Amino acid sequence: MDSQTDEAYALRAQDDDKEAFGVLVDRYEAKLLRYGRKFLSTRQDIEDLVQDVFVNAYRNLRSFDNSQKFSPWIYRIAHNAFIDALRKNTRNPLISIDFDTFLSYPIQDESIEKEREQKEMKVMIDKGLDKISSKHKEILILYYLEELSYKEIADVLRVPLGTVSARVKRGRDELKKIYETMNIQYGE
Amino acid sequence: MENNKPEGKNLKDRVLESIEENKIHVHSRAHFVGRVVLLVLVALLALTVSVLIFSFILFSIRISGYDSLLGFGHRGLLSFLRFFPWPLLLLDIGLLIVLERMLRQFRFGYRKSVLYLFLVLLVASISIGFVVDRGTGINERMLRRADRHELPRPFGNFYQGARHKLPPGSGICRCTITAINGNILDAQDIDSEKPAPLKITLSEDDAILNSLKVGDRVFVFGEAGSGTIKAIGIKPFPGERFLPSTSR
Repeated sequence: MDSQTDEAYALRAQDDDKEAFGVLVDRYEAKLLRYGRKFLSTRQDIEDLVQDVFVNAYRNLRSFDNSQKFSPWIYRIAHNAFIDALRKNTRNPLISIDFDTFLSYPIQDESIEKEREQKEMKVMIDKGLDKISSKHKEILILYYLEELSYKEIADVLRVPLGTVSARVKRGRDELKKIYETMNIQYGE
Repeated sequence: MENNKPEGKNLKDRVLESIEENKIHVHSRAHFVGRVVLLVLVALLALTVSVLIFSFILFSIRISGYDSLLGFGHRGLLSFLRFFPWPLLLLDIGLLIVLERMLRQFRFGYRKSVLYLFLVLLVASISIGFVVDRGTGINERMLRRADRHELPRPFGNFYQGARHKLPPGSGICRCTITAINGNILDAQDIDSEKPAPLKITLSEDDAILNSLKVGDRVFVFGEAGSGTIKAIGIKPFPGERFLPSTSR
């Protein structure tokens, strides 16, 4: 049963196959909990939200287009849930404007960077550097930890591909600077 | 949904239990199709209103003769900018921003930068507005109906306002030539309710003097004096046929 793709299970779940949906929960529970850990600090809050994410996913399952990948779809639901929770927790829940979506940016070649830096960046992000800005933190998590492609991240965040590329680069640069100020050699 | 956490139940069990107990209302595919259809309809409505507003802006500039100001140097340009219907343009831009936000719900929308999508919508709206104005004659028909008081009040006033009653001392005149004395024209201001004779002075070597004749309607821009205009530019008045029938 496990050899089937997420999309195949989603298709079966759309036909009221609850077991199939259970497989999707199994596959994504740990990933979404890890993703949520970067937004919120309390374990119980994260678990509650991830549970809500799965409930929302099931409720809206028939909006999933099986010709697309399942992963960005559920990460999109999770992203919205975590952002909403963050906004509720802040004192000034202002509407944020993504100015970097206003212009087009060149798209850097993913494959070269990813292979070379994957392991290094995973270690750095996993060390839990909270000094990095939340916008860059999220994109680094999606790209290096969750290993989504630029296209998939664009679908999660609903931004242009060039913006994803620019944010990954800026996030990486910001992380390097933080390491430098902490006198840690990048890659240690 | 309340997150009850009975002892020993993991997250997956809690989710599946909620599903089994029918606590989760599952939206049908028709629900999502309906949402998309509604979004598309609202977007089309916003685009249509935007096109009609741009069409009206272009129409009002045309029938008022204000587009002639663009050919009268930098002073003409400044006047054009002064009399341009900015509130309508701002309203239209606001509408396009709302439309853009709607289109970003779709992949083709959010995959493009905000500026790019906005410019595409702006160009499309202006272009279609131009075609609607010049190609369909809808604005002209609406203006004629407004003159006959056949349009509901706000729309009737709106269309009649497209002629842009000129403020006094603006240096702009939509006039009928009553006499030509060398480089000085005697003219009658079309916009005045009472006859308002005007003396328009052109430069002596202005080539248009050769083509003007008594009875011609002209659009004049220049320095206003008391009953006089020292013309910076003069053109045949293109909006003549859009005057109220009493002025013809």
